[in-house]
Amino acid sequence: MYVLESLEFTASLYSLGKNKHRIASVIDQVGLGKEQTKKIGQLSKGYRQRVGIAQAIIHDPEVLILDEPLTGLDPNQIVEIRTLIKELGKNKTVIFSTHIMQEVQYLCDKVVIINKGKIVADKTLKDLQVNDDSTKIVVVEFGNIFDSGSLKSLKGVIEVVFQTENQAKILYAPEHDIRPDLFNWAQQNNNAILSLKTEEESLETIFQKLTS
Amino acid sequence: MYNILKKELNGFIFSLIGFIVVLVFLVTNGLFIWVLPDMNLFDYGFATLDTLFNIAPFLFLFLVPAITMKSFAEEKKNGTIELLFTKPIRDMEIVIGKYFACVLLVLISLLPTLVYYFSVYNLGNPIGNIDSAGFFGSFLGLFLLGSVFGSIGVFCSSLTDNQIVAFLLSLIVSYLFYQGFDLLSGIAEKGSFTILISQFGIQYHYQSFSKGLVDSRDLIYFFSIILFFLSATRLKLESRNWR
Repeated sequence: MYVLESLEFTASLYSLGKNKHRIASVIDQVGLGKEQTKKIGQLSKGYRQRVGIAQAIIHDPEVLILDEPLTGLDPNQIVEIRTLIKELGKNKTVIFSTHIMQEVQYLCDKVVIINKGKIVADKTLKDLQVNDDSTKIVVVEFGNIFDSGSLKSLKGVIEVVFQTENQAKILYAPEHDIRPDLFNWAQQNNNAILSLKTEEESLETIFQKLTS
Repeated sequence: MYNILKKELNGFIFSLIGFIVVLVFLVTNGLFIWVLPDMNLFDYGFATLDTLFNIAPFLFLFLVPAITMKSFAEEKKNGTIELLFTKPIRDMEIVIGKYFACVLLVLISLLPTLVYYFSVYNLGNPIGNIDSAGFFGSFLGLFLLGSVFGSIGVFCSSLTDNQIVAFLLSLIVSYLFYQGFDLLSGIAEKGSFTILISQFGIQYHYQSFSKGLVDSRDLIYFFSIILFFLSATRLKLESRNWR
């Protein structure tokens, strides 16, 4: 079946059969212009995905439900389809399922995580990342070897985990920012901080935590 | 319904299935009626088209399942049946749309045989010496027979996602209806159920048509078989919602 033919067929099922303008605009919207005279079977997965999306939006629904729209696509196609979904999301409600967390980060406002049929999280993306931070993490690289005992005595520090002999992962309570204290501590102990970076909990780890 | 019908017909045309079916049907019939020695009309010497009406059912027995085998089986295999289910059309519309496309193809392959009628009509001695009622009765019977095979084929296609299974299944069921019941009734030749059993088969009613007699009982038989299989198909499609 040809792309154009299949879209005309779908349109006719919604009694839009004679509305050539609508079909043309949908083809334009999903970027199928050049491929519209090809057979669907000949298209690459990304383009087939577009045909599917085109069929789904031809009658301009208010809600669009997509089941893993980005799986099996190559990186370029992912970017294109992602932009398309983002575009569609401007004036439609788009519900889509995925297990690629970067996509969630990029596309979603609200996240629902389901584990074994039960909803384990139902929050906005921001809340999900912030609320779950019961501890904050900072990775520090010092100039010299140091003693973890006195580091632990700093206010708010929960745990110090050595990664190498002069680099440590410090977990601390979120109420108090320990980074200025760390600088002072380093100065007092004749040490230097070579690098310091806060580690945000990624959606992957949040997902793992919630579903394990 | 019309959009499904149109889509199916487009499919027949673009995939060449339609052409091949019509071609095979006409070529085989033509060979048997006009060309093959001992069997052809000229050797036979009688102005009748009985050959056509004896051979065509067997051609339909193979060709109609070949047309219908993909109607649901292919869509199931490709997953495109889901697309149809989610659209605002009733299941019965899907079934009837696909079924009518098949019936239309049967009709298209039958129509050119009218040429045979006019040929024999003019070849007769005296001209017009042909049992017209018999011809048109058989013609109607053949069309209804093809339609019944079509409904059986569509039903069998809805049972499986494998086209070959669908083809063989509808071939068997069609044959059962065409000759099976007739042969079965022969087992108990003197039993009281003989006529009853043979009335279940298509043969009994088809032969009644070939006498030029369009009996409402035969029409009702054909239509009820068609309706039965189409309803069964719809039931099969509906069964996806059963828990």
